Amino acid sequence: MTSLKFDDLVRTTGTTPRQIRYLISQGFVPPPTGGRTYAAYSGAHVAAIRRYDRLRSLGFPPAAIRLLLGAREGIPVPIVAGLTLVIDPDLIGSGGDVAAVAALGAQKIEQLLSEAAPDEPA
Amino acid sequence: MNPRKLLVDPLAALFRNELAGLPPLLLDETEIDVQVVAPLAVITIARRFTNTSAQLIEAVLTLPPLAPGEILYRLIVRIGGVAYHAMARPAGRARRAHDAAIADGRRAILYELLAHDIPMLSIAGIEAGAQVEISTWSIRPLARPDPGRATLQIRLSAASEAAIFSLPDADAPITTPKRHAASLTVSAEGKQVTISGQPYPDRVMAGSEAVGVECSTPIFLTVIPLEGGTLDHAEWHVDKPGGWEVTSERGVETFRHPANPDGSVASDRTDWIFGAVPTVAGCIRVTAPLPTDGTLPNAGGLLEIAPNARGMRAFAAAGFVETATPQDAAAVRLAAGILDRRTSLAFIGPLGELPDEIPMLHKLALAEMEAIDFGNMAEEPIDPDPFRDIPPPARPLDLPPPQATPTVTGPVQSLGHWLTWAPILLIIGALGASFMAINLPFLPLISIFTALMLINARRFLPPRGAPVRARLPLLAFLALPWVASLIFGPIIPQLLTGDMPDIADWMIPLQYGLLAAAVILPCALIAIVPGARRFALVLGLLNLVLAFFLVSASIITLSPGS
Repeated sequence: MTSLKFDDLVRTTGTTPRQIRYLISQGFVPPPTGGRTYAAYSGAHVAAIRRYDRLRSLGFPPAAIRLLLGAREGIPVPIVAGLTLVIDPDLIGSGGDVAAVAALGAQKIEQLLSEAAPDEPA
Repeated sequence: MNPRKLLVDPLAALFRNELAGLPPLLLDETEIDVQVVAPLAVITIARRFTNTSAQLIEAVLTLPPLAPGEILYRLIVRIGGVAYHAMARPAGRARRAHDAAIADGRRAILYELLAHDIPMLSIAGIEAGAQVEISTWSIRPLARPDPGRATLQIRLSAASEAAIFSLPDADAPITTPKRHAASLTVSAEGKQVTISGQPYPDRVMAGSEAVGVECSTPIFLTVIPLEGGTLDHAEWHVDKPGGWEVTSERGVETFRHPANPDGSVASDRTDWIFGAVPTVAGCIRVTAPLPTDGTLPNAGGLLEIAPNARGMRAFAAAGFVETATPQDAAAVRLAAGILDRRTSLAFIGPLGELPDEIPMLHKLALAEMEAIDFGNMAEEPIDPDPFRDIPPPARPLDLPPPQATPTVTGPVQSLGHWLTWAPILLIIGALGASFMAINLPFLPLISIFTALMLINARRFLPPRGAPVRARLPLLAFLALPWVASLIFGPIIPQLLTGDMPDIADWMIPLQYGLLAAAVILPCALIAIVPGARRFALVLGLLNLVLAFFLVSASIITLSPGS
C-alpha cells in the first residue's frame, strides 16, 4: 500500500482520529514515519487498527489484546463448542485471498468432522 | 487434571503491570463550589493535574454523565497559568477542527457531549511538566422530594454503567484506586445545607467553609429553608433592557408586562422570547426581551444575549423546556455557550506556539467509584437535553399571536441561496454581453456582480479575534493581476489619449501571464489562510473574473480580431 496521510488512514479504517491517536499512544499501532509535519502511514497501520478492532469485537479487553499480540502461540477464536481457530495476530485484518483460505478451512473442518472416514467414499 | 489442583489464577496474566500500556494521568486536586440559588444550584468544579510525562501530550478526561436537567455552560482551561476560554461551536465542526489542529501541532481544547450525555474533554498541547486546571460551570435544578426540602447529588466519578462501556476505548472513562485531595464549599443564603454520603457523619455546612470530600462517593446535599425562607425563586425584570421574568413556583401566573399588569400580553415585537410549559401543576409561562441592541460581540465574535442567556439557562435548568422563541435553538445554544450533543465548547490555538512533535494521548483517570447503595435516588440521566428541537407544546389561548415568533433561519437560508446563484447568473450575462451575444449593459452587470461577491465574502469573514484575521491583508495580492493588466495594458492609455499606444512585444505575453497569475494566486493564498478559505475563495473568484475581462479586453485591443 502506498503512503497514507492521517485523513486517509481515518477514512480507510473507519476509526475516529482520537481512537487512532489512542491506539498509537498505547502501542497497538506504530507511530507514523516522517515526524509530525510529514507524518505518513502505511498498510501496516491499517492492518494494526483492523486487527485491534476485530479483537475488540470478539470481546477481548485491551490488556488481553496486548497479551495475545505479544504471545507466540497465536490468538484462539472459538468457532463452535469444541472447535477453536488459532490465528497468527499478523494475519488479522491483513486481507489477502480470504475466500481461498476460508475454503481450505471449511474443507479441513469437513474432513475432520465428517462421519465418514477420510478413505471411505462419501 | 484434577481442577482442584489448579492453583494458578488463569486471568492473572491479564493484570500484569506491563500490560497496562501507557499509565493514565492522575488528578492532583478537585475543588467544588456550590452556590444554591433555589430552586437551582450553580456548580463550579476545578480539577487540577500535572503532565508528569516528559513529552507534549493530549489529555483526555471522560466524566460521569450530566445530571438530569444539568446545563454546562462555561469551560476555562489554564495550562501553565495561561487561561484558554472555550467557545461554543457546532459539534461536528468543532470535532473536525480539533482533530485538524492536533495534526497541525496547535494547542486545542474540545469539550463535547458523547452518547448518553457523557461529557468528554480533550486538551491537546500540554507541555512536559505543565500544571493544568480545568474549570467548568454548570447549573441544574435541585431535586424536590417534598415541598420543604431540596436535594442535590454531585458525582465526581464514573460508575460501571453499560452505556459507558459502549464507548470506544479512547473515549471510555478510566478510574484509579488512588485518591487525591478534594474539597467542597457551599453558599446558600437563608438556607441550611447538610452534607451526607461521605465517610464522616452528616454535618451542616457553614457558609464559605471548605470541607474535604471523597471523590469516589457521590456528594449528597440537603437544603432546607431557614425561618421565613423559601425554596422557590421569582424574578421580574421585564421593565428594563435585557430583563426577564421567571418563577419556579408551579401554577403561578408569571406572564406579566408593565403594559399588561393583568397578565395578558399582546406584542408584535420579534425580539422577545415567549414560552409556556404545561406541567402537572399547571402551565408555567415566561417572557423575556432579547437585548441585542447595543450589545457588543464577545472575544469569539459572537453576539452575546446575556443577561438574558442567564434567564434561558435558568428556564431550561428548571425544566422550562424552550417552547416558543424567535431565535432557533441552535443559535441560543451557541450564543449562551451551552454544551449539548450539537454544540461543543472548543478552543484552537495559533500555529507555531508548540514544539514540533506529535502529542501523545494520555487518559486522565477519575477516582474509582465505590459500591454504594443509592436507595431510590435516580442515577441515570432521564432526558437532560434542555434545548431539543422538538415541536412546541400546544399554545395556551392567551399566548402572544403567532406573528410574534418568526423564524430567522428561513430568510437567512434563502438569502444564502440567492447570494450564491445571482453572481453566477450575472457572470453568464456579463460574458454574453461582452461578446455581444446578448444585448445587456456590461458595466452595470459586472458592477452588481462585484458588489454581490463582496457581500458573499463578508458572509465568510472569520470572527473578530480569530488568529487568521492577521493574515487576511495578504489577500490584497489577489487584485494584483487585474491592476497590473490595467497599468501595463493598452486600455488606460487609450482612454486617456484616445489614441492607440505603442504596442510592445512583451504586452500580449504579459497579459496571458497575468491571467495565469489570477488563477495561481488564489490557490496559493487559500493554502495559507486556514480558517478563512471560503472567504479567500470568494475573493479569488471575484479577482479572477475581473482579470479575465480586463486581460481579454487588453488582448483584443492589442491584437484586433484575435
